[in-house]
Amino acid sequence: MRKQAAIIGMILCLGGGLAIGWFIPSLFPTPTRVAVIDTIQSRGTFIVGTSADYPPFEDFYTNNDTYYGFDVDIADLIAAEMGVTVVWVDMDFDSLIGACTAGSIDMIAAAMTYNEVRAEKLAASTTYVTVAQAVIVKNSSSMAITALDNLTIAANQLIGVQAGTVMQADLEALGMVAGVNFTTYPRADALMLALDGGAIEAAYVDEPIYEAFKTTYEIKVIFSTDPEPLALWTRYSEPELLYVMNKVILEGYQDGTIQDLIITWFG
Amino acid sequence: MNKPVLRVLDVWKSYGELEVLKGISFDVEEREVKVIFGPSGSGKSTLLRCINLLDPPDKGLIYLRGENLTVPGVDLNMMRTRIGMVFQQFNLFSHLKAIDNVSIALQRVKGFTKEEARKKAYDALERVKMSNWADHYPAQLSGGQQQRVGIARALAMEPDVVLFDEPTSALDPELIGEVLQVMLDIAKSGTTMIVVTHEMGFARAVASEMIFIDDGVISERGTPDHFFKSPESERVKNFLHKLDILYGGYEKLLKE
Amino acid sequence: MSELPDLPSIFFYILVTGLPTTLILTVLALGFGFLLGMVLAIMRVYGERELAWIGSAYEKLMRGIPVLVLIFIFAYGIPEIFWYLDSLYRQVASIILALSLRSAAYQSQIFRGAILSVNPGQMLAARAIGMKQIQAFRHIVLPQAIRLAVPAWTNEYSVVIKDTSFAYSFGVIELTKAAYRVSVNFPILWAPTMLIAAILYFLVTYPVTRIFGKKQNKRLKELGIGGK
Repeated sequence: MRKQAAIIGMILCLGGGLAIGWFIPSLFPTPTRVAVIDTIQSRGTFIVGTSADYPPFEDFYTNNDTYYGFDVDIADLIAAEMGVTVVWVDMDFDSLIGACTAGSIDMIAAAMTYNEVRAEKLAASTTYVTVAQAVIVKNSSSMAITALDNLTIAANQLIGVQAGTVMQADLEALGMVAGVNFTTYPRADALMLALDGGAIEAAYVDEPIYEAFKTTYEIKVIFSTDPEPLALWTRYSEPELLYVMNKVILEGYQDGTIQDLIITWFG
Repeated sequence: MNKPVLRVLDVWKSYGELEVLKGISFDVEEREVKVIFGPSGSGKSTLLRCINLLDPPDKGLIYLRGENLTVPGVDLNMMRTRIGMVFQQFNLFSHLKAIDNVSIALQRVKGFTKEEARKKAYDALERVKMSNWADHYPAQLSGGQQQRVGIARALAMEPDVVLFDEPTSALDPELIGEVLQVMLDIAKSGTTMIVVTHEMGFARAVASEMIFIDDGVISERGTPDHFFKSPESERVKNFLHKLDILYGGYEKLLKE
Repeated sequence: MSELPDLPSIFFYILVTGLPTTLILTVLALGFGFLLGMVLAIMRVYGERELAWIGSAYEKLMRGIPVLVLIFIFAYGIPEIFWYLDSLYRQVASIILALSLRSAAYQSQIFRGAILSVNPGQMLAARAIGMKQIQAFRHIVLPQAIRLAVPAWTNEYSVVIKDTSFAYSFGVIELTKAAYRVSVNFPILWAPTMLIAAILYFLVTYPVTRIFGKKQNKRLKELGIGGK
């Protein structure tokens, strides 16, 4: 008898708790929203998420523990506009969107291409740089293509891309299947290593990546696509921050700051 | 007449279908030494655990110096400090030294300070002649030494009555003597004891009354003289005979 | 980039930047796991049927969920759990929470086994001299149970410290991430760098398991704790 009572009691408490959790918040007046930009300024730090393995956009030098890259400089510009400093959160590329929507980071600066799928979840800034995609092979390779769908030929022509990128989506849009027609790598440097080692015959990457690695490996571009826009990302609920981001980008182009950065990092 | 230290009234206990105790009643007076014996499985150990309510009886009453232990609302933990228990398997606290085994309850239950508890524990160990071994761990002691520490542990609490559950049954033969000697000493110094045992020599020496429990009931009771000179039932005679074959010395115990 | 670093400097870099964070994560996860695990173990051994059932259900549930999934749940699924924390620390807190919950499940099993291994006569004797069940547990059973649990517990330590490497994909700079960074800078040293990371993990786990495991077993034998 006691046990039945205990079990019924537990169920009632659980149900009661759920009901309370469901209804009570609507009874309270909505708390005044604190814009993240105010939090940033009172805190003095701007939390930016990135995946620091993608030179020349973002990289981390272990010998002096600093972040370097095109995106790093752009983020510094935005932070300066707000009068704060950047605190970097260096994580997996795939996890960045989740972290931003969850509020753990304020902005994503990780050479993340604009596309509708991402735009559904986060707000994109205006394009801050455009890059093309290129198919690169080793200097010793005799491979030649005239269009991207030439890559669909035969599985023994192994292609590599970085996971979660637009390049992967492009190949899949052509009907290619990961693991069958192409292989994904979590990091650009692993991709380059695989190309150099012969595990793959060709890599399909952002063109600036080729620029960054062309001194390390003997590679050449055999094909490049139309340029695509990169954006910085934040939450839709933070229009003030988005405004500042866009302002810095536009003014940066107007007074030539961003062009200088492009030459510094990509030239 | 003084109130009995312990009164056991019509105690019944079953485990599931099996009835182990079927209406046990007896009194224990001040300074008495009661020896309870009988075939195994007759419920003797169960009876002791009923007395200190570790395993409460299904029916029946237990009175300790007139206070009823079996009614709800009794602070059993305090009551158990007045009933000492010595176990067949000694059950010393393995992670504590001998002195700490004896002093821990004095400190934690009775609230003595560390120094007071330690002093009392040391005195108790002296009584059982184990004071030289105070800093030894149970694993470093022989069975007989461990049991003596167990007795000290019970005595240190200054209980109204001490229960002994076959205290020598788990000991090697040559170690039994030292424990029996200690038990004899404390019996002679006036401790009220209830001893479940087969040691008839001990019973002969100090028992005030012997109780034979068979199949859950008190089958026969009387002084040691009664049992060893003229036991009544055949069951008792058979039992004593079997014991005697085990230990030898039939003729000394039973006069035809 | 400049010339390649030598192996000792890689070793020290990973050691200095990564190891402290790894150890802090491990200590916190093990610590909270211990508290919760002990409570669950007590519930399972001494609790009424409902409490025991809750403890058992928790363990079965948590043992079946991968750590990474747990971390995702707290970091991205319900980050509001840590509303009071600065957003920078929410991910770290989620990781610690996930690791603690998982560790608690395994530790509850360890302690439950340890408590049950303590000779039941000990509890009987403790109660016979008047200790309340809680007192008896705290002074008699628990000290012995903890000694019995040490070998299995050092095993849990080595599992947790390796699980902290999941934090690398959430922006926490611990041992694995530090090694990762070096490798990204000098991809040609990928294999040696990761090997150094592996050696570091080994150096902080094996000695602990060996020393505490062996020492404790010896001590247990001396005291004769456990077993009938």
